[in-house]
Amino acid sequence: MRLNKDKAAELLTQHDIPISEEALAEPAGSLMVTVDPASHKIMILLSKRSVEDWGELAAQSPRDVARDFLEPGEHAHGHTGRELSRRAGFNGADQGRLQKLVLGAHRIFSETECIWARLRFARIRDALAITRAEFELDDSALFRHPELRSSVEPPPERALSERERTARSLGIEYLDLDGDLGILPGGIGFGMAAVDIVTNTGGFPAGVMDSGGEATPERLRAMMDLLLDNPKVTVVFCCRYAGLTHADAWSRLMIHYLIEKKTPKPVVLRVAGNEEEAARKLFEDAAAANPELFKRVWTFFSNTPADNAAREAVALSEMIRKGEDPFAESTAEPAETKKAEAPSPPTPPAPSTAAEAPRGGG
Amino acid sequence: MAILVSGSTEVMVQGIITTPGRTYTKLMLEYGTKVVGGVDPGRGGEEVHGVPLYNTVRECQEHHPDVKASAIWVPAKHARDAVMESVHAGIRVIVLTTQGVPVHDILMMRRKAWEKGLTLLGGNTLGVISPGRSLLGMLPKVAFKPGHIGIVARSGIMTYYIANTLDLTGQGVSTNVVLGGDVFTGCTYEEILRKFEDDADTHAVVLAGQPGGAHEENAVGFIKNMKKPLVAYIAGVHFPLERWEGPCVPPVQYPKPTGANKVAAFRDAGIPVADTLMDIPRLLKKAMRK
Repeated sequence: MRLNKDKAAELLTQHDIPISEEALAEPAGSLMVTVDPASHKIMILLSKRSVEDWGELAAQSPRDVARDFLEPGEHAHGHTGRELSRRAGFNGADQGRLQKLVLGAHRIFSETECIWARLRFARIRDALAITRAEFELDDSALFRHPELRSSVEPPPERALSERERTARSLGIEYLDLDGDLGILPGGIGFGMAAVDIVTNTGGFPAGVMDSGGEATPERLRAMMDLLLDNPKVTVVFCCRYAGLTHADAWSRLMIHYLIEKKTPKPVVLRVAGNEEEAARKLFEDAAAANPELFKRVWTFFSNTPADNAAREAVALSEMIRKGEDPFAESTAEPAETKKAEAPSPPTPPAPSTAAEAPRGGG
Repeated sequence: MAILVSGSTEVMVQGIITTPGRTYTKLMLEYGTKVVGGVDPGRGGEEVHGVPLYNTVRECQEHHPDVKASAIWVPAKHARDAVMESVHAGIRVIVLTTQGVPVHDILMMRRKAWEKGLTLLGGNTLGVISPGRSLLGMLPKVAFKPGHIGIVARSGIMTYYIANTLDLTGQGVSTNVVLGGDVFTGCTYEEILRKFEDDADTHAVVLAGQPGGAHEENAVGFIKNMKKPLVAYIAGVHFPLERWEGPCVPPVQYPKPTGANKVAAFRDAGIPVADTLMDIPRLLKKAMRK
């Protein structure tokens, strides 16, 4: 959440920092106060340049950036600003002006618990005045600042696809990608890895989401629909590691969904964790009762590396991309869960591997 | 031996009367963790799952002078108070499971813990497990088998997959440590790697990282000089971080903290990086042969 313009101006004024809206004011420099991800200290950066990307400028032109660090909770002092501005190349008179600006910006940053504060200033006659001020607040700390709740605006958002907007309206963090393989990964920590695994085995992710936590029928349906209703998606790869939940409970919901949805698209599932054996039995029973439907469902468990399960999904998507019918060679055997597989180093699936992939249906 | 928690570590739970506090206290007890006390202001004298409750950490310490670790389940607005109570009492290992802890709070807690030589995992951590010995937090016992590989990661769920992958190749885990998924956490990779380096039970280490923050980059210098073999795995190399991360990430890092840049930083330093999960046991084997 970002402080809106009026509140930012109000806080700056309270700290006796001049503000200007003169469009033709001569830019004089930039100031940033933030938390340094490397040292976990408060970092103050000052430059005579109009800075867009502080990281890039500091790396490529370090002499143009002066920086200082304060411990969390430590107050800035007058000398902090004077010394910073001296090192940034400001003259003696400006050093005094910047002292006030640095102190004020640091104080607002600390008092409102910002993640970062980014300011530009310009020369207005004999003074330095703020021409742009952005204060990014920590959402998690807003409970301590109820007075700010009415003075925030959401940060500028990236453009969302229609599917991403739908997902957001359902409370699902979802990302559209360009490929043809939908991914339901559990938490986004493994979601990032799943995108890599699919890509590294020659596949093209079509979408990924944060699907961790306890599943409800409604949430699981919404997440699977997001993937399966996407016309670009030809195969869905689901990974579920029931660490804090139960694999059988999740599998029951998934089976119910698959039977209800009757999707013609292949779904590759890897289920592991608590109550995994019960989950395996549920899938076996469901496949026996719905043999035609479960020909399009591949189930793997913890005795198959996640890489290998992903490779099966990738092989299926590759076949479909090539116009091959992944079910053409499939026997109508009822679901037979995969036996333990000897792990093998990952290699992109060769055509022969792809042709063999669908055999282990269910 | 293992690190941080062993079978003899006495543990207390702060926020034991919360729903997750009760749930995971039960799981920890079932695992064999020596939970000797719970702390909840105003609830002293009561019991949860047979564990006596105390009003303060100091009171718990008076009754259990050997208590060395604390697992915390409290709402975010009480996290700072709970952690600082343990820090002031000198509790050596503090696991803060709470999500959404204010950034300025975690910075302050981290600094105080570091000054006293204590280990603060989290916020937003699933904790630490020394398989077959002790569990502090919410990690599932089903995922971790005893062995000699140390795991340290930011994401808890990644460690399930890594442990599962190791298990498929016949390797188990000495201790599994989750730093927490946030950009700012109470502990660094280096602090944990130092402990693994000194642990006779740990023969090699897997470090799992992810995009965002500077945790991985900060660890490179230490890893280069480690005596024990280490394999890194960075998730999210192909993940478009710029389309996912929120504004809470300070826009000051260069190169950008993408998965690909983190992999490059490790490889430039000669640290083996697994491209996939199944690469991990293969590279470990290779590194351990050296």
